[in-house]
Amino acid sequence: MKKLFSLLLAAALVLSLCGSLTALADEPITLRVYDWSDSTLVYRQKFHEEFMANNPDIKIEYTQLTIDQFNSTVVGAIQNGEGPDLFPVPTTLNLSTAVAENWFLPLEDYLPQEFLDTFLDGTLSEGVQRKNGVLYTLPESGSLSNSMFFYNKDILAECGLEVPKTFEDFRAACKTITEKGAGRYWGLIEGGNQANRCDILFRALVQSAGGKISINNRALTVNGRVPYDTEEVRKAVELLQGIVEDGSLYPDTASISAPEARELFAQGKAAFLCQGLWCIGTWANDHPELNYGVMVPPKGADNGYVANVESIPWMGIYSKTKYPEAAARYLKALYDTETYHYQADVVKSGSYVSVIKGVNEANMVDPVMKEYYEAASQCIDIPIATSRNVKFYDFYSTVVGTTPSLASIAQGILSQAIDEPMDYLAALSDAETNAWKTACEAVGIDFSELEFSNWVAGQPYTAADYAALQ
Amino acid sequence: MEMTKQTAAAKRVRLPRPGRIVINAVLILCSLIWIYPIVWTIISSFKPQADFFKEQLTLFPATWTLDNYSRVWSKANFAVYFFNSVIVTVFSVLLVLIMTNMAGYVLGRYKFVGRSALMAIFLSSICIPLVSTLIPVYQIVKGMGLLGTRLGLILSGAGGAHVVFLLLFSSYYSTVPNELEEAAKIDGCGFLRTFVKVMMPLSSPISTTVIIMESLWTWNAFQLPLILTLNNPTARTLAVGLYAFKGENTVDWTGICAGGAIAMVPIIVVFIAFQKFFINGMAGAVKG
Amino acid sequence: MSQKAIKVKQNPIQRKNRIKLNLWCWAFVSLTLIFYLLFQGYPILCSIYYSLFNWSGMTSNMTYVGLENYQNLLKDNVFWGAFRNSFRYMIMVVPLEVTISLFFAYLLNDEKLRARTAYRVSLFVPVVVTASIVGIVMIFIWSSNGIINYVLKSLRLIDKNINWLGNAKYAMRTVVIVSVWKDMGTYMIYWLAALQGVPADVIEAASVDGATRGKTFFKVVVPMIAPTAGIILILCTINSLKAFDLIQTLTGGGPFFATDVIATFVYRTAFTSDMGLPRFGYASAAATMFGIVVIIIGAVLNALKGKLQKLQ
Repeated sequence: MKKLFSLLLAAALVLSLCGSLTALADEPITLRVYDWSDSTLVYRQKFHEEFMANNPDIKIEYTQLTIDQFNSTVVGAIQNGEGPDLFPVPTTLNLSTAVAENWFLPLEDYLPQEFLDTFLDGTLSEGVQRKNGVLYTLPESGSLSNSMFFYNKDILAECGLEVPKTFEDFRAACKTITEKGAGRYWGLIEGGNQANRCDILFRALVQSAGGKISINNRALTVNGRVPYDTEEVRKAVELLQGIVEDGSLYPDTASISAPEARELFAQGKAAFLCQGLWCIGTWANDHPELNYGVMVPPKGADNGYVANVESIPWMGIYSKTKYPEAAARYLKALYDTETYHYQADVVKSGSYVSVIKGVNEANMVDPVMKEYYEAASQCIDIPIATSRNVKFYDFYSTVVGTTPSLASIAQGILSQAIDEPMDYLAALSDAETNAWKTACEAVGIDFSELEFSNWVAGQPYTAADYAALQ
Repeated sequence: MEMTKQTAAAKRVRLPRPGRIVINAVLILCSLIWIYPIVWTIISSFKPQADFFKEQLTLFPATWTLDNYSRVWSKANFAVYFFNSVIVTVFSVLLVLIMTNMAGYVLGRYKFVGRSALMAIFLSSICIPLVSTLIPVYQIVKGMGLLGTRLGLILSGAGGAHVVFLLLFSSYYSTVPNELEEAAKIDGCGFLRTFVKVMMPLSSPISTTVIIMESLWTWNAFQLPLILTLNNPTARTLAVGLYAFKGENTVDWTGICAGGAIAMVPIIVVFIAFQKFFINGMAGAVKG
Repeated sequence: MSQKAIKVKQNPIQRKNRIKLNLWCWAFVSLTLIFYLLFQGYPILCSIYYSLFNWSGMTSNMTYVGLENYQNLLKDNVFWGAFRNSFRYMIMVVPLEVTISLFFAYLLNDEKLRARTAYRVSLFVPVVVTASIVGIVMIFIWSSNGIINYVLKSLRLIDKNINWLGNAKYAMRTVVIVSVWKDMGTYMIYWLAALQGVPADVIEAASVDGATRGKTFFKVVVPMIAPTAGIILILCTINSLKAFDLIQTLTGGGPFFATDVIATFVYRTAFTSDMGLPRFGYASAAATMFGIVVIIIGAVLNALKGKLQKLQ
């Protein structure tokens, strides 16, 4: 026993010695960068090598996590003053909260105006990247709708089908494809295990049916009520239920997540997939033979539309970093187009649309990416509560969501786990209406400000419309 | 002890042949079912990424590749992280083994003042599912000034779920007959000597369990090592390095399989090395 | 009364010995106790403390709300659904896990069995593999064109392929089977350790008496391992009630909450949100409330264990 203890004691001594030795040995400064941008990992690593070669005094320690992991681990460290030097705003938060928590340094102190001028107009906007005029974060990419439909051209040709434009055509096409495929391929595939993907698909279909509905995790009301049980919602439900009943949904949809769905689509297991731009880069690498195109979601009504997504904040410099200058150098290089190629690489590969002037025009060579970009440019702006009143950022950090959420219900429809989705949706609308009213009260906003009376479904909502509301 | 074991083995009555065949057949079948998914994983780790989905059912891929391993090896910063993992695991195991053995001994054999209260606290606390122990443990390690050190990882690793072992030790010790202890006392052994010379050797089955299970937990621990080494990645363990293959939008399936296969090997070695102490009759031989 | 009387009669030497013994005992538990207080006790207290707040876990802004979280939990159908599922899961897992692992441990405790090590390793290997890998593999194995469907169809047990994890009807049972497969090895080890307490000569004596293997097992072995059996049963029960990793990677609680247990509910509530911020305080309250119920069950099981001990 004594031996063991002395052994342990010796070991502890040796270890602490090792610890102090490694602490002494940090010659170049280590810049810790954390995010979840896995779609561009290859180009990011290439960029880091170039950056370290040009900046021998900096060593980049880059760690990728999922958002959940980030929320459950890194956020705690940030709060305890030990966060990474550079990190993005978690998607569960908005900039206003992150700034109130004093997570980030004002960027304009470290980044020159000429650098900020290289960003496309409107990408460093108030509320999203700025708070009270002060810039705290930079955007990762241009915001593009992530609910376009990819279709497999070979399968459509084999079944003698045109690209379906309406709900009816889409359902019929899925059915024909599944019958023709006879176990080789199906109509539609989704990452049904991921609630957020089901939510995006569902909202896109409601909008295509001409329904007034906000994008994912944003609030809007119609006639003083949360519009989750409207006629247009019913149309979207019926389409999805129809596809499921016809058996044209890929049979494993309920248990797979988005990456698996993306891979199976590329292997020709399904004709349609609702996803974002980042697929293009992955497929170009892994499946160059895939013959596919991009279309807007099928329309359920003449006034059907596709909504633009709101831009979101991304990376900022940690307020307690020891190396703000080095962190700023990193950011400058990441968006630089003269010495570095990161921006060009992500655009060329079809991973992202850049926020830097001139990059997209010069580098968008992938034909499908162009197609996606064109399809997405048909998207229109819908009302955004925070554009009307910035206090809605506080609303978003106060409101308590209802379970089962719209995402879960959409998931339930796809997995055939619920028979009467409209009942759930009606209950959800009631509960959410109450929850949003409570949250509005708590932050001192009038609930009616969630209502945009001059909004016409299918028509772009403009600055003039906001002004007309005042 | 060696001799008694041999005589015990020699005396053992053999089962009739048919019974033995049936038992082996059952065990072979079950082992195959149990190991199939693992074999599938290991074989997938030799497949090119594109074949991973195509050849779901086939165990033998058309093309074999070591790409996944070289990718994992470099990405996981293998040489450094492996060394850290070994250090952290070995010392966490030692620490847990010593403390739970000692505590289990007195909790299992002595009705000392406060014993039932301690037992109640230990037992009830394992019932509460914690949302996350990360932040409190992080704060404690930070308070000790051990953030980003291997010592911090060792202490927090040893502080994990050891109540389980405590219970196993105490229930095991409670079954040891009193005569042994009394004999030791008559021989003039004090409390400590009785424990070290007489009782501790008896506990080897539980110690083996503790070594296997605690190695496994410490070796695979991901979240705590990650958060504790945020500010010093050179102290990271292998599990942290191997985790980066499942991203927010993409998954490197074959990379995960290769990483899993690498991470598995040391624990299986530990298991093979220690499971041989599970031989029926050892405790009996000592008692005799 | 009588105990007191004995104490009074104790002579000074006995008393000194008793104090000495108590000191030794406390010295022996002290290291464990320190670690426990730091790494288990303190987090539990934190968790209980957080449960009294409206707190996202992401910001420093905490509002004291007293027992409001608990009151809201009582009205939360999703919480109660998860609560029920946790117990459903436990009721299915524990008997399977405990008996299958005991069965294998008993067979593999035989030093005459030649391929013992190979069998033990095969049965233990799933324990070694992390849940995230198991999740990936199992999604394929149980998928609608995976091997399970292939085998069942060949055996004519089913006539249509089933997506086992994606179908609300079968998802829970599938998760149960996978977790029994995954964790069986752990309990096998516990049982193997327990079986080492049974002297070989006792079994021999029984065998010589002409008892069959089964009879020896129930008449001789079971009573001898009863105390450890109680502990193993408690551990298995508690672990099944706290099950998280595997369920999270297999189904994430879906489809439509069919496999949502307390741990997945707590995780989802604490770290994710469809709208607004995560609810760490509320999740802590859910965990604490569930823990209290489990403690009550644990106390009952402990009483049962006491009875088992008396049997011996």
